[in-house]
Amino acid sequence: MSDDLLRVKNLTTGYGDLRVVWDVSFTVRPGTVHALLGRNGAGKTTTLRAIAGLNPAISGTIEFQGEDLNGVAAFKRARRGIGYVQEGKRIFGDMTVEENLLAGSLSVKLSRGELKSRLDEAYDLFPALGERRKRLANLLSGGQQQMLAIAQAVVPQPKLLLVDEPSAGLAPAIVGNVLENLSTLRDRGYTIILVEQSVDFALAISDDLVVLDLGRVVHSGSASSSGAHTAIRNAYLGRLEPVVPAE
Amino acid sequence: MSTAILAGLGTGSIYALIAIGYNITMTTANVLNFTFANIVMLGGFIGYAGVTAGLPIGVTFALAVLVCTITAVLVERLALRWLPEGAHAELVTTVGAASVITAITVLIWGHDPLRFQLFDNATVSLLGGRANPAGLVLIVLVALLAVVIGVIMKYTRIGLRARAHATDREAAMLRGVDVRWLAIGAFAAAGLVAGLAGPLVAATVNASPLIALTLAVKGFIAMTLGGVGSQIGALVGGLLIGVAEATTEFYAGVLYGDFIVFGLFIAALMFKPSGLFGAKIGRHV
Amino acid sequence: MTTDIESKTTMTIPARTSESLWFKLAWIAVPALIIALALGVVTPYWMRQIFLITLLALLVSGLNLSFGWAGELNLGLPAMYAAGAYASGYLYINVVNDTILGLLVGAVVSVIVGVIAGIPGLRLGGWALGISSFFLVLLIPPILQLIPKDLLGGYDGLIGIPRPAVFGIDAGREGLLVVAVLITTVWLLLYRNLVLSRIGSALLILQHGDALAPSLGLSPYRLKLTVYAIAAVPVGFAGALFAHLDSFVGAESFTFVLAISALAAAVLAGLRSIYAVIIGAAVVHFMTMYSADFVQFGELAFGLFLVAGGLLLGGGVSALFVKWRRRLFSTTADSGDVRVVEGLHPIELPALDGKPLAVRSVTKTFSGVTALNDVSFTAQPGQITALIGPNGSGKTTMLNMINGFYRATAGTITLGEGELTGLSGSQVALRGVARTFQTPAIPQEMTTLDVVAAGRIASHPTSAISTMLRLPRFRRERARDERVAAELLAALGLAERAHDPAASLALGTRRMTELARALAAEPALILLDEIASGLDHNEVRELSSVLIAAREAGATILLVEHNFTLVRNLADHVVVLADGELLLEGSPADIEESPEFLRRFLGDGAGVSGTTVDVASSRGRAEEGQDDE
Repeated sequence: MSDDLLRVKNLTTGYGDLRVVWDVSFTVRPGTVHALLGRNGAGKTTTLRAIAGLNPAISGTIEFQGEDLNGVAAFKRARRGIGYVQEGKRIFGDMTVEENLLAGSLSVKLSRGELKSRLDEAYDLFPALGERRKRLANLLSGGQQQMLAIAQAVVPQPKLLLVDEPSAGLAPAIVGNVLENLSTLRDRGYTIILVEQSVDFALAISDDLVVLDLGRVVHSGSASSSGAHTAIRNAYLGRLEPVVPAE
Repeated sequence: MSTAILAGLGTGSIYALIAIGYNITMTTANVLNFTFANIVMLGGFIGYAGVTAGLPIGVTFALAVLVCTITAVLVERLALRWLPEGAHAELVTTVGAASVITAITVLIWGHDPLRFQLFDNATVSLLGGRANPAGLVLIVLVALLAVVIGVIMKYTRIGLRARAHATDREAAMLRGVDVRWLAIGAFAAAGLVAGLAGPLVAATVNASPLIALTLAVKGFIAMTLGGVGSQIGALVGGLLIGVAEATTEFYAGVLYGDFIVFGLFIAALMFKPSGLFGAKIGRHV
Repeated sequence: MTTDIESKTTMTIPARTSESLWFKLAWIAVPALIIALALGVVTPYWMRQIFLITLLALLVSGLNLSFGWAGELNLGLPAMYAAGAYASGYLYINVVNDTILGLLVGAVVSVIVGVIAGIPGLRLGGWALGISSFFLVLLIPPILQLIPKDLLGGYDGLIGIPRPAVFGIDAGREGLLVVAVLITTVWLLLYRNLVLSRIGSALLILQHGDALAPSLGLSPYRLKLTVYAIAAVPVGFAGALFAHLDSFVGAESFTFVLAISALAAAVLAGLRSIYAVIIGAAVVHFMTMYSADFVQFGELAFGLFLVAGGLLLGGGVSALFVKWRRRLFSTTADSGDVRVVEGLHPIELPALDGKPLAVRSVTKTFSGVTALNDVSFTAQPGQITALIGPNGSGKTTMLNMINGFYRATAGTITLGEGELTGLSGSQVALRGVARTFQTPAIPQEMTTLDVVAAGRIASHPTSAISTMLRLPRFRRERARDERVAAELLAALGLAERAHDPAASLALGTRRMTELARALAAEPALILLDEIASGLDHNEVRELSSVLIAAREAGATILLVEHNFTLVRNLADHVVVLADGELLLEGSPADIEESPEFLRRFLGDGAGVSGTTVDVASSRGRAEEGQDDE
């Protein structure tokens, strides 16, 4: 247990005094992909934002590499190695592809040589970006923007990568690419928490999962367990009573 | 005529200076620092104080930079840090802070314009006209600032941080940008610029608290004409206004200068609000 | 059981303050008292102070109206003041010395100057208006020097203004004071009438954000310009009175310091206050009088005050009064959620004249990116039509186009006989399209009743004049507003919350309030943007019963939703979008069993929330349910 990368314990959070997430707990092991599933409004993004430090935790703790993140500002968490790919392909539209990648490197100190090799790695992983280094990010297609959002988050080689609905609004073919990219990252040893509405996408790549419904955990465990499918279906099709957590 | 144009470039560079100062905080923190002209004038008074006290010119400038930087940071910390919801509050507190600074300068140095010279020659011959050396140095300084700041914004990491923050504050935070220090830094930079230029400005137009208001307004117009966020635009806008004003006054009389400036402003607002070099500054987050 | 129904569906609207006798008496008694005191008891010195305070109060109320209510900082106040003073001064000297006429002339000139200088800045708002209006103040000295000296006295000032006279009778200092007090009273009454009305609500809504106002049929620019012009009137009045004060008008009275002191007084009183402007003016005036080194310390004090006031911006003195009054006299419970009791009689809504919506071959591109491609569908009255699709399918874009926020690149949108394509947001609203937003945009101070009543602004507009003068038309519309709003709130079980500040309610209740607002507009089409997101089961159930009632009443309802359970339970007709194109159209049952839908959404990795289930079991169901593929 001591080598857990992230431990969320009894987290209650929301916006202002509006509580959206209640008493959520889960643990993320290093080198795994952990999916956070649930309907729209279930609290998935809110949970990620709390981990990233954008929303304060009303109660409960978030431990990253054994240290309590309570009170640590978002920019410091980024510097400690928590990367966040926000939903909606949030990149800096007025900057070029290369500038966006450079912006990703702002959270770490790198020498010129290291910076160049990080950028080259990113272009390797996302050839479409490599072909458009000087293009304004605004002018990229949706899929390319999503790739850029992921690429810039990977430049600082974060210890924990939070990815929020990467498949949203993308054509099925492109979704396949994004899936491949994330798989590659997992193979390279990245730890990822993936928020998705699309169950198939998430199941295809995750090791563990947590299902949220109305802000509470209704199921957590391995992605391949049989209980998972039932819990997911119940959560999505809206049974009135939340299913008792499988463990 | 050349004296008029030179004079126009001189005052124009002051307007450009104010616009550049506005742009520094606009492109970094999305805030219009209405107090900037007052801080410049404060620097001017420090310049006056230094010269009349007989201090070496370098020390005078250093003092001005120090005082102005501290004042600017104080404005950021006290008047802008804890703004409640809504753009209203920013307008009120910055106008208030500007008044405070003006009042303090009046308390210390009185109302009347103070004349002084930074350099040994009172005037210098140039291109068939006469010019104030301080004014010439100012023009060079402002042009330099426009270029240097523009370069910093576009090509350095600090500039990248600033642009990221102005575009999307939350996204910038997630990339490790310390937004708190960034805001302080922006204001400190503005203060630095004010301190460097202040004594030169005051030596050119005489140190006076009343002028600050006019400068604040015309600097805003220069910024609008040039396009918010563009330092080159600020330079061009300011010089344009300055020359237009000076030549109008030369041909039509002193009274008409302000009208032409007002006219330019209204024309810009009506027909090209984004300015000559304007790019969209970025979403308000 | 019967008592429960009664209490939840009936509502009393407490008598409005303005109807009480005390209130009406106060408007006569207070000015009368002031006049009596001034004339009878007070020394000439104090008469002058009172006079100056009324002038400042007029300026401050003008500033409140344009800045506090319309959100536009008018730093050009001194210029408008000067215009009024010089114009009326000229009138008194050269045309006819009548103070009443002077008031009119002053007001008109002030409005003209203010509007002309303000139009360019109003388009951009924010600092642009402040700066451009302030520039006028800087232009006062050159303008005065350019105008021939014999007209306005040049830079030395206009001298020789005769003593005040009304209808030919010499009024003297006393008469002037009476006129000042009376005109201030009249103006405050008009100002009060203007802002305590739907126009005031509209202004609050305007300040709250760009999206809400047009969807209520308000054109932000026109409304702001109107209010900005009205706000120039008291400034002109003040100018006309000022001209008589010392029989002299000079440029030195119209400076930036005046603008600052007016702003300070406004912040002290409360930027949206009505009566407290007098207090603010009095305090600032005495600060001005009683500091010997006023010019330095005054500016310092005002400056500090503005900084402090701006930071705290608690709404000034006025807000304090409101808080005390609420604490002393409040009987309503604090915010909490009201639940509709299970088994209550079904909600009945008055008949609605829904019109059919037809979207034909609509395409929308944003700088090269195609958000919607050749989409067509219809929504019929008396039906609930759901628009579903994954994130990025174009649902919200479609909604925004029907709404008038975006212009279609190609195709047409019609509502009944009329065409909606190409109309602006406020024009679409005026055609009877009501919309809710995902984050209910509700201004801080409005009560739930006000919010719902605001829905009728578009469908039943009243003019500013009618509002200020409380003409019969206004009273009729207001009574109807309140009745319609009260009935809706009662029908929706929100009667108890009617007078609570709407922004303090729970999310589900706020959503219901938004829905009630949409219904209050008696809309031809209701657009609902993910109205169920973030709500719990009970709240969704309540919402559903209201939607069903609206459907029964004949409304055309278009529901953009993620929640497929809700769609399945509620929708008569479903339109499925994916990647900007129309995928399917049909009943919920048709959609759920359609092999194309299943293949597209359940097999390929792009899911629709609420429908995506694991592939194996869904395919199993499809095979069971279908005879052919």
